[in-house]
Amino acid sequence: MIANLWSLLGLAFKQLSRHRIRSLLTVAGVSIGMFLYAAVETMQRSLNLMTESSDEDNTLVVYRKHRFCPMTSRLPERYVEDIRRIEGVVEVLPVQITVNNCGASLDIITFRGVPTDSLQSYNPNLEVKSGSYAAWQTRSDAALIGSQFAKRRGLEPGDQFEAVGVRVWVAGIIDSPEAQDNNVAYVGLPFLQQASNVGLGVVTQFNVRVQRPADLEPVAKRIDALFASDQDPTYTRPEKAFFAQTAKEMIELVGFTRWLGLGAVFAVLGLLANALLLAARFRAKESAIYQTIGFSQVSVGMIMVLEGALLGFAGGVVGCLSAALFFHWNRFTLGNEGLTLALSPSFEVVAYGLVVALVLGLLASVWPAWVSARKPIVALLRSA
Amino acid sequence: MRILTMLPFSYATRNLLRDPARMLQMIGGAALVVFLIFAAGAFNDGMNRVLSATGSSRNVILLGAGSEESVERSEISVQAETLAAAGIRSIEERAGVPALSGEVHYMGEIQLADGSEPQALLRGITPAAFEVHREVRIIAGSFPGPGEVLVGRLAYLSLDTPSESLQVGNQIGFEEQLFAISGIFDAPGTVMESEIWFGRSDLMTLSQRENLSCIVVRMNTSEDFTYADLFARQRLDLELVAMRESDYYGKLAQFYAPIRGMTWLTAILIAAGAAFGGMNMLYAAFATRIREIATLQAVGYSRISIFVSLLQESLLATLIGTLLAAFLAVALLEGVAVNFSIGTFSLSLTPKVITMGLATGLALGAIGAIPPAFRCLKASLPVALRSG
Amino acid sequence: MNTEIFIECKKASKSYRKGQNTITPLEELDLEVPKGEFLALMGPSGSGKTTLLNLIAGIDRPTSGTLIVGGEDLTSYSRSELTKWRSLSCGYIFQLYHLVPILTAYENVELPLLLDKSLGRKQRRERVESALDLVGLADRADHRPSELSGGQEQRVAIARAIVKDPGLLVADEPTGDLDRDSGAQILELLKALAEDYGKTIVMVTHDVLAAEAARRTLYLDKGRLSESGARLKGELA
Repeated sequence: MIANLWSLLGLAFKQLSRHRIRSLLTVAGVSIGMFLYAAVETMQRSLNLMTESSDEDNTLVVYRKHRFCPMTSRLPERYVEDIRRIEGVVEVLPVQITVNNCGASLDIITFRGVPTDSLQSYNPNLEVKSGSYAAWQTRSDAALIGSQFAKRRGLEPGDQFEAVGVRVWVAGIIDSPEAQDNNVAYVGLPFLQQASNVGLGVVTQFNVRVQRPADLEPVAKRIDALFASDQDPTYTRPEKAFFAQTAKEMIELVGFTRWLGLGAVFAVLGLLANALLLAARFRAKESAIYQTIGFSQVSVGMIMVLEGALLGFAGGVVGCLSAALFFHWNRFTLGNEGLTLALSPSFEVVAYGLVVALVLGLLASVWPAWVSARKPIVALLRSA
Repeated sequence: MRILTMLPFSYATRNLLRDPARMLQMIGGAALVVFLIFAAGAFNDGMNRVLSATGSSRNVILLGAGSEESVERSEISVQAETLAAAGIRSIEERAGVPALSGEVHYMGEIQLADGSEPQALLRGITPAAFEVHREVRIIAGSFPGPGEVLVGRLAYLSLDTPSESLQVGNQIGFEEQLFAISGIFDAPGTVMESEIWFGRSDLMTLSQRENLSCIVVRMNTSEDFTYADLFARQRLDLELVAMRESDYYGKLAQFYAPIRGMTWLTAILIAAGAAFGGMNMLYAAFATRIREIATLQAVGYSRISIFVSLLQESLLATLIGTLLAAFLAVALLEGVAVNFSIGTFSLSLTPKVITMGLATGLALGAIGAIPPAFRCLKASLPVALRSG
Repeated sequence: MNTEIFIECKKASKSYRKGQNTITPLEELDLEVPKGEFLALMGPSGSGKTTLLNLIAGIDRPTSGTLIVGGEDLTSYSRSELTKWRSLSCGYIFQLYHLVPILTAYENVELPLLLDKSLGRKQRRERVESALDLVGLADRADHRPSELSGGQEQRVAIARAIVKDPGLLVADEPTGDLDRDSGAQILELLKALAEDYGKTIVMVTHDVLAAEAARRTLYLDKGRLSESGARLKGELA
């Protein structure tokens, strides 16, 4: 007879809670594995958000052809007028980018120099959380700091900080739906052009907003055609494609970690299966007792399956939540060639991780459940 | 004095052979885990070594102030090269010429014959580069003249192209100009092997820059770094910063520390799972022998001698697995070049890596056997004799 | 005493393979046990007593012949049907008690009741408490087997065996691991269950004194049953 699932769950829970050390060790192992897995998934997800195009994309990045390091991409600022006149273009923002490190790094400091009267018209969803936008516009060395960057460095309006040979005064902290904005410091364009020695009249790139996503490709082609024979030809791509092609080091790194995530999953499966198998061996007699009393083989097997599910789920909760908290408190930001990738925890990763842990627990318990339920009772009793 | 009588080793070997399926499982499991440890160890070791080997402790890099983290960002005036040669004491000399190399480091796109445009690290050099980077040797062809380039032996890996496409005489494109490959160089164990070296003036012209990225100076001894440092601090007009080359690459290594940590964690987790697996198998194996083991005790063998024999059995299996893993590692891992963004390095089974693998094999054998053996031996003799 | 036949065995045989050999502990055995009888089965080691007990309890199936217990033909039942029958109609008492070590006395006794989905928590509680009360261990309900004496463990096992009020109880050397006094208590309990509660009890034992607690003793040797008293004496000599 298949006993009430609740009763079986109760028995499974008792088995685990009354073999405390063994259960805790197993959950600890599973948590570490799931932590790794969730960390890898977080990185992957954050990267996908930046590189996978969606139907709402409407931003192009105009860069110097054959260049990908902000240090080396230099375009004449006057291009902005020509780009603005192209049909389909809503707004153009010239940007000078200065970073402390072109290569992939965890500690990226990025300055973006933009015309102070253009920033808000280009990005109307930009929100000034503290400080003042007006102060930023009036003071030449003022900076608007993205919220993630500010948290990482502990900056507040009124602070001063220096990096990459540039000294700025914090005018305000901003929050934006565009991920890049939250990891950079916006300063006035002429100020940065001079402070970074690149010279007035030169910018790194142009960010172009088009009317509709369908306009992305035709506008890009027209921009490149316009400057093809100039001394500084351009290469224009949708923002996400630009990210994917430029931040190669970072993408390669995150790609490598996928293997580690896979390894962690296998490790969890192995740990769970072996722990349960060990338990099944010690319980041959108990299984016989249950069957003698009248529990069916299926019921006896189910107890083991539920144990696996409970162990997996418990490890998943600890591991995935720890990973989420880890990324929440640490605010890691990967940077590469002036582009930033904020590793932020997400509900989806945690939920997916829990499901994965549960499934692993169930999978791992199949063989042990079979082992614990399959022997005929007489043989089991004899082995007592 | 009581002499401990040990069980013959053949007892352990014959017990192992009793269940060939179990023995093969244990050997296979151990082989897999130890191989993974070899791989992880060689990977980490290789990455560390290439970064530490690339930076010589006698070399000093002069960078633009504020660019200590990234030489590609750095800009120094060309004049600084002659000023440094004159102003820094204790620079190594050969035939009266100071070992000092002003270089341009540039990450750029290369156009290959197959149409691909991979990113590559380009270095603009003068012949002085060979005085400073002593590990570098031209192994084919010659030093590049105008319109020519020198290609690192492992550059094909970072460009993701077959090595045949980068032979002497082939051409590559840069900034829409064609360059002939005049020679190939190697610099064993350093990241320079994945670079492409241009004549400095060629690179400066095409990348539209008037400045150098850095000046690399080779000192007589590594302590002489202080002279270079002094020069940089005194000549504020040049806006220079002096760094040991080894420190510069050491910083790069730091970035990969979390990744290396994660790799180790994964390997350890897998090893833990395997240890559990071994324990499982041995619990099952030993459990069926409780009566037999009790009989041995009754005959006169001490618990310690039996414990040692059980341990021998387990260790025999895991050490055979370790040996198998070592063969596999030599065949599949040794010398394999891994391409990472910082450069290319080759996997190598250093003594440290081999020791790690061996220790893992031993640990697996011991951890797998100790709890089951304990359980077997802890029951009192009368109870054990009755069981089974 | 009730003359209704509760257990009816006709030409029951059981054989199984051990390595290369075939072993036949029971060969064409006939047995009738009236309802409410306390029967003891004795015999030398290897005589097939436990095998017969396992057949009657529905733990094992005869290779041939018929076995009807409580009006149900066990030989026609599949493994799952036997399981179901066991849970409703048979209580098993082992020599080594076989309590689940991680469960308390209460939880051990409750186990068979978990199979009955129609019982709520309150109803289960009532039955468990009543069973523990009957065996005199109501005050030990929260103790785990490791905290109980051998005799107490066996009494918990008996409580578990009777909590579903089965018609049949089978006991395999129930006093084999107990001292004389504890053993005597157990036998008194079994006797009361048969005489006062009408349970049919089949007990396998090596102990002559234990057999004396039973109403009838049968002797099993080389797979065949007899009521021979001379054999019994021969056993003692």
